[in-house]
This record gives sequence, C-alpha cells and structure tokens, in this order.
Amino acid sequence: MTPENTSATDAVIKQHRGPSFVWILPLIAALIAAWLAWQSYQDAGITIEVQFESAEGLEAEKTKVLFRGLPSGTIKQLRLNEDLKGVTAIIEMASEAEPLLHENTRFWLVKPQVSLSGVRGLETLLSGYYIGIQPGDGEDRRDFIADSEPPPSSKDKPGLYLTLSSDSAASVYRGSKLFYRDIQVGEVIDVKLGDDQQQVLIDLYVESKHSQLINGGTRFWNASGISIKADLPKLDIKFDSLASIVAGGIGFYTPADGGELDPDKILPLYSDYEAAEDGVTVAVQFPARTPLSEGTKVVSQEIVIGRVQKLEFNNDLTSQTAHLLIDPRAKPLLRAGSQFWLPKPDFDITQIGQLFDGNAIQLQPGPGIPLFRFVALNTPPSKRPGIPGLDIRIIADQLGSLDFGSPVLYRQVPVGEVRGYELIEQGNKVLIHATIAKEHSALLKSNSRFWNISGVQVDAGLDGVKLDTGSLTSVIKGGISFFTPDIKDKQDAAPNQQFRLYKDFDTASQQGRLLYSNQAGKLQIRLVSEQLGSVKSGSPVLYRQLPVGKVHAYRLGDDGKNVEVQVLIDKAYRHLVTSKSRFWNASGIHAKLDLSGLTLQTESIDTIVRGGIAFDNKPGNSKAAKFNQQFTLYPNKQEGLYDALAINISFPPGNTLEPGAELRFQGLKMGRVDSVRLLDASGKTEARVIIDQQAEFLAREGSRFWIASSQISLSGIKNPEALLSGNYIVASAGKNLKAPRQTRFKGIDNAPAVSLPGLNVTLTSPELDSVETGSPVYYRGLKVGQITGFELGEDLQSVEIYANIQPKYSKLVKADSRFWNLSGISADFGLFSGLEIETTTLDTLVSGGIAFDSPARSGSAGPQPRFRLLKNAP
Amino acid sequence: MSTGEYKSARQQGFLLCRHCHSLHSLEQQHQRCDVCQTPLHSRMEHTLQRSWAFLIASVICFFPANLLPIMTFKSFGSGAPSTIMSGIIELFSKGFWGIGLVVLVASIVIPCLKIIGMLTLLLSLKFHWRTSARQKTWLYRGVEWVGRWSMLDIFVIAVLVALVQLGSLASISPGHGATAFAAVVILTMLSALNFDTRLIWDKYAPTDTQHHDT
Repeated sequence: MTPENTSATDAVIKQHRGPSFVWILPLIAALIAAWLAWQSYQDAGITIEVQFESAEGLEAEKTKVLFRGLPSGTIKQLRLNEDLKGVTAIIEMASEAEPLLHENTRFWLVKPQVSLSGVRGLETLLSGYYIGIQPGDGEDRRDFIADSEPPPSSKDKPGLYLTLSSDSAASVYRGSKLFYRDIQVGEVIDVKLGDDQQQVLIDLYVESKHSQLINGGTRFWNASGISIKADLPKLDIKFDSLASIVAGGIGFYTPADGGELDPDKILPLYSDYEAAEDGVTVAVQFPARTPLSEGTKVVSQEIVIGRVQKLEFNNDLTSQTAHLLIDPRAKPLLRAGSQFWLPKPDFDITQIGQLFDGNAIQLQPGPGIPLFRFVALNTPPSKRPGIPGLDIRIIADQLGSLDFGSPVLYRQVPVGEVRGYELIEQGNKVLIHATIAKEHSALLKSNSRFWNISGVQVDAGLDGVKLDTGSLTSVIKGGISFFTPDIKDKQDAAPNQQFRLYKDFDTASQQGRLLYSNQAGKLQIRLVSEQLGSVKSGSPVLYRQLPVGKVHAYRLGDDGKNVEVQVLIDKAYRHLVTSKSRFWNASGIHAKLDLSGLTLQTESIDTIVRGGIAFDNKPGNSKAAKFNQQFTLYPNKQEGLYDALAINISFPPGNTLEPGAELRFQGLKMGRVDSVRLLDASGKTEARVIIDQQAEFLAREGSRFWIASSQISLSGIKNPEALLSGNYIVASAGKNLKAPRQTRFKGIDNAPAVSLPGLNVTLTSPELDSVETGSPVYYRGLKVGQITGFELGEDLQSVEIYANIQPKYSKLVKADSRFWNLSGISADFGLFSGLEIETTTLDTLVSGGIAFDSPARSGSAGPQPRFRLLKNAP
Repeated sequence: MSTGEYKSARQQGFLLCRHCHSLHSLEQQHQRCDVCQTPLHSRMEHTLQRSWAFLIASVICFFPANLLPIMTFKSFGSGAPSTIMSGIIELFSKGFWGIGLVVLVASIVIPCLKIIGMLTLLLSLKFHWRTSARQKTWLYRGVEWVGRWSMLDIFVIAVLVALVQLGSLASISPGHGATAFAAVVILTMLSALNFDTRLIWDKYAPTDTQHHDT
C-alpha cells in the first residue's frame, strides 16, 4: 500500500486515502446475512392454527403436514385450548401450500390403523404420525378444526364414481371392497345417510381399468360377511371371498344388455345375490305335503338353475304353489312337457351337500312350447334324464340298494348309471333302466352279463381285511357291474336290449366259466379231491412256492363225492403243467416237533390263511396239459409227488399210536400213520400207514413192524424221542427186497432180535435174570458184543437169549466156550473167609451182562452156535 | 502505572520484528528482518481499519451463526435442525451440565467475549478513552488466548458429519449456521491478528508525532 521509500532521508509519506479494500469483507458478510434473512423469510411460510381433540401423536417441530405424501408444513407449537377441550397446533405451512388453505380444507391425524379391511398408515410407525390435508374450496382461511377420521377420499383418481342406496349399511363401510368374480375392482369411499335420513348412500369408486364392467343394468349386492339362512330343510351358508367376509364388500352382476350407465343415478344395493339377479318366474303346483321352503334349489341335470322364491298354499289346502325364480339362461328348459318333482329325501353320502341344501326340485325339460305354469309330479318319473348314451333294460328279481344314479361299472370303472326302475310282470320282476355312457357303449355286447355289486363283500386275507366293493359309492348307492364273456362272435348290444341281473359275479360268470377275455390265455385245469380243505376261490397255486395261478372256482363233482376245483394257471406258467404234474393241497401248517426242535413247514405264509394248491412235476417224459384236463388233488406233498403206498398194520393191544405218528426205518422217517382204528374190544388196532416211495421195499413180504415207545429203566431211557413225539412205528425190512408186494402186516410186540453183523450166539438159560436187550457181553472184561434179544424157548422151560459178538471178536467164540451170567452181585459169606462181594463192573450190577471164555485149543464154533448160559462163573 | 515516563522503541530509534522479536534500528523500516525476512514495520499501517472491518464482518456473521441451525440430526427420517442455542438447552435439559457448559462457553461466551474485547480495544483507541494501557494489553492477550478454543464446535460438527452417515438410520448434515459460526471465529481471529498492540501505548508517549491510523 505504501510505496517503498527510495531513500531513508527524503521519504515521502503519502497518506492512504479512501477505505481499505478489507472493508469488502463486512460487505460480503452483510450481503450473505441479508440473503439468509430473505430466505428465512421466504421459508417462514404461512402460519395456521388447527384444533385437534388431543395432542396424541402431535409433536412440535416434528409432526408434518403431508399433502399427497409431500411435506407441506410442520407443527411449530402446540397449545392447550382455553376451554381445555382440545389442543391447537400452530402449523407453519410451506408458502406453496397457500392454495390448499380454504374454508373446506380438511385436516386429520394419520395414525397406523390395523383393521379387518387392511393396514393403513403403516408408514407412520417409523416416521411418526402426520397430519393429512385434503384441500377444499371456499374462502381463504387460517384456522381449522381437524377431523377425527380421514375424510372420504376425494374423487380425483381416474375411474368411475357411483353412488348406491341401501336400506342398511350392513357391514359395508369405508374401505370395503368392490369385488367382481372375487377380484377387487374398487372400493367404498364413503358411507353416509341420505338427505332424507332414510337411505344409506354408499359412494363407490371403480378403478378406471375396470369401469367398463359396469353398465346401466349392473346390479350391486351386498357381499359382506357370511349370510346364513337357517331353515329346517336347509342351512344356507353363503359367502364371497374371505376378504369380503372380514372387511365386507360389494359384488355386482352386469347383464350384457345393460345399456348406458348414468354415473349420477343412484343405484340400489341389493341385500344378496339372488335379490340382484332377477330371473324367470315359474309357478309350479306341488302336493301340500311336499317339504318345500323358500330357497329350495331347482336343479336340472345337476345344475342349479333357480330357487323357490315364494310359497303359497292354494285355496283347497291340498296343494301349494311354488314360485320359482329360474335363471334367465335356463328359460329354454321351461316348456310344455317339462316335469318338476321333488325327490324323496334320502341320505346320500355322495351328495352330502343335500344335507345342507335340503332336497332340490328336479326339472326334466320337455319338448313343447314355452310354458310358465306346471304341476309337479308326485313321484319321480321312472326314467329320469340321464347321461347320453346307450339305454338298456335289466330285469332283476329284487332292486337291492339300487337307486337313481347308481353306477354301472365295468372293471370297477363307472361307465353308466341307473336311471330309473319300475315293477313289471304284475310285480314279479323289477325293470331297471340304465344308460351306458356313449364313450363306453362299445364295452357292452349282446352277451354281456350283469350282476349286482351292491353292498360289501368282506374278504379277509393275510394282507388285511379287504372290502371288496366296486367303489365306496356302490357300498351306499349300490351298483351294477357287467362283464362280457369271451366268445368269438360278439355283437354290439342293441339299444333297449334286455339283460338279466345276476346276484353276484360267481352266478353271472357261472362260477368263472365265462371269463373275461384276458383270462383266456390262462390254462384252466380241473383238480379232483375228496375234500376241499381250506382251498377257496382266489387261493394261490404254487409251483416251487412261486405263485403261478389261482383257484378260480370249485364245485361239487358230478358224482357228489368229490370236489372239483377249477384252477387257472397264468399264461406265463402254463407250460409247467404237464401230464406228469402232481397237485397237492398246500394248505395249513405242517408242524414237526422232535428232539431237534420244532419245525414248521408251509408252502407259503399266504397258504396258511388262504389255503393253496402246490404242484410239481414227476421226472420222465411228459406232454403239455390239455385245457380242462383233470388231475387228482392229493392231500399232501408226499402222497402227491411220490406215489406213496398205503399199508395196513394191525398191532396187538398195549402200545398206542396216533395218526401222524412216524414210521421209521433205521431211524429215518419213511412214512406216517394216516389213521388208526380199533379192531376189536381187546384193544387191537389197525394203523393205516403211508410209506414214502423210497421205502417201498417195506411194503413187501418179510417186513416186520413194531411200536417203539419210550422206556425208562435203570439202564437208561430207551427211545427218548418218543417221549416228545409220541410212539412211533419201527420197521425192519425182510431179507429179500424183491419179495412180493404185501400191504397187510401184523405188527409184533417188541423189537425183534436184530441180526447184527458178526456172530450171533444163542444162549439158553433157565432164567433171564437181569439180562436185558443191550446188555454187554464181555470177554476177559472187554466188551465184545451185546445181547440183542431174548425169548422164551420153544419148550417153555428155558429162556433163549440172543447175543451178538462183533465181527472182529467172533473168532473168540469156540466150540467149547463157556458163557455165564455176570448180573447182580455175587456175595459169598463164609465163617472164616468173611463176606466176599464180587461184581464185574458197576454197569453189570444194574444192567446185567454176560461173560465167556474159550479154551485155547478148541474148534471154531458153527454158524449158529448154541450154548448153555451158566449161572455163575466157572 | 506511571504513564508519562517511558519512551517507546520508536522514540529511541528502534523497531522490533513482530515475528521473531529481534531488534532493528528504525532505519530498517519497510525492509526485511535480518533474521526471518519478515517485513519490518515500526507500526503496522491501517491495522485499525482492517481490525474494524473484520470485527464488523464477524458481528454480522454472529447473528446467522446463532439463529440458523448449525446441523440437522435425522434418525429414521425424523429429526429437526438444531441451532447452537437449542442444542445447549437440550443438553442442559437432559442433565448434561458439564458438556452443556463447555459448549456454551466455546460457542457463545467466547465469541461474544472476543467480539466485545476487540470492540472495546478499537473503540478506546478511536475515542482516546483514558483507560489503563496495561489493562488493554492484558485484554488483548486474553482475546488472543481465548480465540484458540472457539473452533471447538466446528471440529465437533466436522467429526460428526463425517462419522454419522448411516443412511436412513441416522445422519447428520451441517447447516448454514456452522458456516456462519466458522466465519465468526475466523473473522474475530483475523481482527485480533490485525490489531497492533503498540498503538495502545503510542498515546502515552510524551512526544508522539507519528501518525496513526484512524
């Protein structure tokens, strides 16, 4: 600023004139301040006063006034009114909001509202309450009184605004929706009383995109809530969408030819759907006792076409006239010849709705000229209108539980229905009218057979109890089923052809002889048996436990003695049945209890319950079985498969046998006792024994049979298995296995002496002492053989004891051998020698025994040597 | 304090570098300091005028600084702008006496004190009030010392604005008041900076012939 001095001595000091440029700063600050002041003046807006009932949710400096969501003002201050009855909010409105502030401008507080019709003002949960404003007209104004609830929305949205009038506002209120086919197309914007205080006026808004749904003929009805009309025959529960139940709503119906809509015209709001929908009125005269009520439906072809609008008794009190309101679209059905009737009330599970609806008046259209007065039939016509198709007639002895609409089934598929019935031939027969649906009519042939499937057929099997019914419907409603036997020249059934109704499938199919064509591929054979056993229809036929077929039917044979069982072998297995096939009854359980445990044997679990037939093929050349070839049904596998032999053995009294007891040969089971019968009073019995084929040599001369029973003795238990399984038969074969066949035998008392390999020695003794079968034979204390048996000698004076010496020791027996009895205790008592007790082995003490010795030089014994048994050791 | 028996440095032919306080002869006026190259002035020219200008500007800015909101704190979309005073009142009403006091002192009291102090100094020079020069010097030092605390609010707002930007949850935005307040602080500091304390003493110099600014 100050120019620099050129020299220190002659400095020219210039006074700086004028203000410093730094003064520009306060100037700028002043300008800014002025601008801010101007701006705040601009922002200050318009101050208004609004009175609220309470200051709830109002907050100074926070609560805003929103106009269409746009903040247009803020509460600056809250003040209690002087009368203490409200609060005044001093609101600073934005200056742009000035045009909103008129005499009829409404203010209200927007709070979150959760109501049945929805949630409103949800945004206020976060942002806090706000004040809504709806502009009005009138003069400018700066003080207002707030409304307690939002005013009806202004009619400024694009769309249609209508006014309805109604007697009551029943659950229609602001926000209720307008539904068209359950789609919301608008809403109620206000509900108010009309000027005459009699009518309720409902302002309705229809969205613009739906406004074409409304025309001059549109009829609105109150769809609010659940409307229940309770009458004795019916409980009419009717409601529209769930939303309309909770929120109330209005529905409407627009006829096509409604004409031009006049938006200013006040339209009526009908109380319900029917009131809105006018139709064709028909007067039908019913008998006086017909249980009709107002609202009873009119049904034609299962379609509701109207309702009883009004009922009145005629002057003679014998009839009543029902005024039906029929859907205009059903008008063509009302012709001369049309028949009205009310079906008798019945409980029908398939039409449970009738429980609520009551019965519906049925209408069968006629062919004549249009008519609007009818006389109802007393009873339903015998042939009701049914499905289009092939009409047939079925003759039955009894109607059973058949009824109108009972199904006609083919392979349990409903293909038609019963349309009516009537008595014919002076009441001897029932004629049933039925119709097979057109698309199924080809199933019916002239030789088709019908049977009644009404009711329940219980079939208890292993897989549970099976209710064998056509369908649940047929249990209750009854039903008819049919099948077409598989014959070559089948002809289509003629219309109105007459068929006979059989009482069940077995009868209709002649016990399965007439079969479906798909069973033709199966091999049918016949089995002849003495008894049916537990075999029945459906029992499986098993081949090596594989089910290959089924028992189809059975009947008593022509001679009356045998049972003939028809068996169907599945196509895939029919080659298994040959001329060598053997069938046996596989029913039941074969239980075997022995020392080795309990053995249960059955062909399959299934056969235990359901019975069954098994078969197998014998080896050898065979031919394929022919159709309907006859086979024998054997009672069990052994007899069936192994050509079992039956022999009869008579046994002396004493040992008992029971059927089922085994026949054993060398300890192997070779047969079983089939039956036992008493021969005489002494107790002699005769057992019929079935011998397995492999043991056929037993059925020859020379075989011997005896009964083995368990014996408990000091020496042990003999035949212990007989304790558990009971007595059994032991067989021994004769020497000559080619001996002639013999089927009658005489059983022996005891086991015969067994001819064991080795040397058999016969000992004679005056007494048996304690020698038993099995007692050992000792040589120098070494067991070399055993006693195999004994019997009284022929002279009856001695006992013959048979002993067997094992082969390797047989040389020990010489011609001069001496045998003595070892049994018991030999006690010597001498005065000087004292008591001397001698026994060989402890074993011989109890079971007895025999010992022998042989001189060194002696000739060999002969093939059947006989010796004398000494009482004591030599 | 005796007022008539001292000689100023100028009278004795010296001048002091304002920056490094090294002593120079009066001839070096308008030259640069030998030590720190600062222009040397025996008296700063036009200092009173500049001091006045800054002071007046700061007074003007003082009003919007206190009337306009200095910041707006919004949480969940709601919140009102707050001025300095409303913030202090809120702090006091919530019982934060200490913080409230600090903010009050830093934001209201100190700027006021600075403005009043500077005004007093400038007016006393303007109208040659016969008041103690020593007290005025103390007053000036006080004003200068206290100035460093007056930016506290601005720092707080700057930090908060930077930190609290949580979208719609919470946000803080500065207001025009903060700008004005900063201007007040800066302008008062500049006003104090441009005041040459040596002028206080000049009128006590017995033979003062030198000019001084009006």
